[in-house]
Amino acid sequence: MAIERAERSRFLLRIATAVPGILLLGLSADAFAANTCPWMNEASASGLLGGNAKGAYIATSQSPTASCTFTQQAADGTRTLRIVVTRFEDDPHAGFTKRKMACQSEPTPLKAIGNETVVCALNDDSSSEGIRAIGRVRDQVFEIMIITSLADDPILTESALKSQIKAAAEQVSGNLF
Amino acid sequence: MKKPASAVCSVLALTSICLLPLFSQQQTTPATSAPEYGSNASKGVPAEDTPAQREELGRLKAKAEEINAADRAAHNEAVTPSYNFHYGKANPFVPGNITVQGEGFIQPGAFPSAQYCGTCHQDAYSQWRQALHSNSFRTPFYRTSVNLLIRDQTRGIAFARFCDSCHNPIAVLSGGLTEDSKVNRSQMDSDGLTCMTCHSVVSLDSTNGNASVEMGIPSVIVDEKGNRIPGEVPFAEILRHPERHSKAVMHDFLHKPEFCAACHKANLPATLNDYKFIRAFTAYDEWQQSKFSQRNPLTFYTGDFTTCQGCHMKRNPVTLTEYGAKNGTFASHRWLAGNTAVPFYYGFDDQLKKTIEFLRSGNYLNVDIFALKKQGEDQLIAPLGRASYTLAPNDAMEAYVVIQNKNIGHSLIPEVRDLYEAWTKFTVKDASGNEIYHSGFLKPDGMLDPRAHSFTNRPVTDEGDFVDSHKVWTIHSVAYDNSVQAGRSVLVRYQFRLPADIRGPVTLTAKVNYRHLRQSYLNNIFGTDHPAYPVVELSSRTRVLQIGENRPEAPDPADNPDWMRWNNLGIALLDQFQYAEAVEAFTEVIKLRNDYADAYTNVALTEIVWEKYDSARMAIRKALMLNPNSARALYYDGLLQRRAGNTEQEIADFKKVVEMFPQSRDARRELGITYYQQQDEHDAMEQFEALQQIDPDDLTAHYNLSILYRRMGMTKQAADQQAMFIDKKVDPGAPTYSLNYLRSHPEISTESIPWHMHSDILNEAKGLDHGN
Repeated sequence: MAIERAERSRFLLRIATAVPGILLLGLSADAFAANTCPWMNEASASGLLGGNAKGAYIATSQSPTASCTFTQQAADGTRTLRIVVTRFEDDPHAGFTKRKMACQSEPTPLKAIGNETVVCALNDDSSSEGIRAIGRVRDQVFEIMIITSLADDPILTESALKSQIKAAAEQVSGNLF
Repeated sequence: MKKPASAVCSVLALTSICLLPLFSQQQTTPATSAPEYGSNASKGVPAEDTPAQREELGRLKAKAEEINAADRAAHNEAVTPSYNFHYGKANPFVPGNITVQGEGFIQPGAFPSAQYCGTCHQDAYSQWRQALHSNSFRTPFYRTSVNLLIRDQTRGIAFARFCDSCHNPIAVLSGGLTEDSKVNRSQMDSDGLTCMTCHSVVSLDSTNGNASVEMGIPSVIVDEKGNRIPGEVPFAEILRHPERHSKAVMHDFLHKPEFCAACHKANLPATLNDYKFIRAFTAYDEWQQSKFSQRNPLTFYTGDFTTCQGCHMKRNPVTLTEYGAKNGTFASHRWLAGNTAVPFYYGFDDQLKKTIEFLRSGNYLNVDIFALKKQGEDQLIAPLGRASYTLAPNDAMEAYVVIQNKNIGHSLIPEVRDLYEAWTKFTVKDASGNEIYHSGFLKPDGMLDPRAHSFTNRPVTDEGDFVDSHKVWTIHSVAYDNSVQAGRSVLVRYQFRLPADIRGPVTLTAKVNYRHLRQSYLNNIFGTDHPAYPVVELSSRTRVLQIGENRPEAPDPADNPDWMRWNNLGIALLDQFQYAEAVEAFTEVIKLRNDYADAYTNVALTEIVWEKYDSARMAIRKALMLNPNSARALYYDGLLQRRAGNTEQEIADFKKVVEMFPQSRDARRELGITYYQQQDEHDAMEQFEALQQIDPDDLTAHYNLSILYRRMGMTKQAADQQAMFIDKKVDPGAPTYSLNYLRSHPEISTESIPWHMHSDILNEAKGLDHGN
């Protein structure tokens, strides 16, 4: 009983401290905050992008989609890691398949990431190089893009992009499980 | 206000953390080739350093220490301010028991990478990459569970240090487990228990488990004076002095079960569950109580001394470059055991194949369709294959299947047995292969027949709900635990009726199947759209029965000898509290082997628990006549002497057992009790303290030491023991939670009763009340 009481009072205390925060957040439709990305922290994103990256997390209560964007500003360009997660309650596999259609190259299956994951090239912007992973953990479909605007990027080379997207997908899917 | 120089350091440190190299998660061999091995080193001759080389190593050490200290300071400066010290500044890693040398957190970069080690240890690297240890954190099977704790409303990521102390120690020790983490997780999450987590442990704190180790500053070499040099060093230094490399990374305890105990023993502490100490699992203690430890005189059978490493790290011929090999072999870093799920998920086909081979090797289990009993008849037709009998159509039968945990050094199933599934599949088929009876089938949705005899358990919450998702912090009780301890046997009873029109032979098959993981847990992880996970047949036995007359037949080469078959039945009946039948079974052993002292001891121990002390005395006398130095018989004689008030003989017996088996927890406990009763407080304390060295959780030791210390005026120690006794003692209210669960699950309720029958006849007759 004492334990239950203690748990209850701690829970109430958390609610009491959380309520003003929720009210403040409620002033804006979108909640922006750095360092709160639930699928990857800034240090990990920085490791993947090859330098200090800053992140922003966007989520709304109205939308099943949320995203994190990490940006690393280099001297002559920008490296970006973007994560988008959407919940598909009805037919998650169909949701995954639909997202996969965004691939502009033949998607390559990525073994042992989530329920199912593919990697494909990101060629939708000729001014940048990039790679994309699309995957699914239960009813959550995620899309990860690593993009560099640096010409002949010495860090995010073609092979580095392949290994970094895999590492990013492992981080994201791991946190989605 | 941060000093500018420190700020620069912290940025540099963060950058260095961020820039840790990454490598492909599925690549199972290191990318680089091994450096040339010098001629001296290959002969195992330590090189003689020139003064210049000694000087160079001295410079290397000084530089490495300087870099390590600066990196660590900078790392702490970056991590500490936002770290959640939920359990106080002095306990940054609680609820885990892990610690690290030095002040504060340790930078992840201090740990040489697996790829670095893999340059010279390619065989070990490739095995490790597919093994459970390298996948201790990243698998969906683990992440789903630990994420629930991280997302728990009243707990959060700080509590996950409990799990990750074993599953991701670098993340814990580097301060990565906090809400606003400043630690790059990619590499450590992917590598889990990397080479330098095990090989950097410098001491074992106790055998308490929950990662009770002290991590040293990772070092792959010592200098000529034995001082550790932190971090990675040029391979040339290691190759010139492999003996110094060994001294840095190969502590003696790595070969001992106590090292494995650090993580293969766990309890749920109050700091995790806000409730009390609950034993989670302890493969170490199970081994310690098994015949393989040679520390326990009370085992039913004896065996050669074998450690955890002896089974799970067997030496194999090397197939890749492996500088640690001796005579072309190296200790396996696959740690083959029961996990088929991880290699199945990752597509590690070699690991999966070898795991299945391992599970089927070693004569670990014996399945014996031991006896039949016709309904309405008292006589047991046993042992099958040796007895003559007749069968007729429409006979209602009971089949006795005895499953012996013959050569596993721990229980079947060990550890988190709420997640795994081992069960008996029993079929009766007619000559055309039509099923007459089937227990232990898988349903179309992959779920196991709920009435199957399974070797699992059912942890429950304080609401009496099954903890289906491995939320261990909600466990308050265990509704049942049907695991079979090492060396023991279980009797599974099946009841079926032969069809009235049956003509040809009847085939009975009993199998022990194993699936990693339970289907409902797999569904929790992936949803229901996942492939079927492998079911491995661990052991099986088939017998063909004739309608009409059945005569004795030649035994199968894998069958136990008849005396052992009876003995196993006796052990199983003893565990089911069927004392009269157990004595009958052990008496059959005596008939077959009247020189076997343990058969008499088995009769005696059954009669002791049955409280038939006079006949127990007769049996134990006979055992001691046959083998006066039987520690097992002496132990039970000690109990009987106590009962008779023969204290001197009681002490003599227990002392002799302790002399022969100094790590016998039972003998220490009983001798301590005897001394306590004789008011010999000093000797009683000595025994209970020795007992705590063997088993730090022994309740009798806590209870008695709390009293004894108080009498000695050692109030602090007395209070500590009292607190531990209260914390570890089973909550008297806990059975209520189990009962709530069992009340709403009649099929499981039946499984929780030691004596139960699996039957279809219940449905047929609607009157028999012992069906399952």
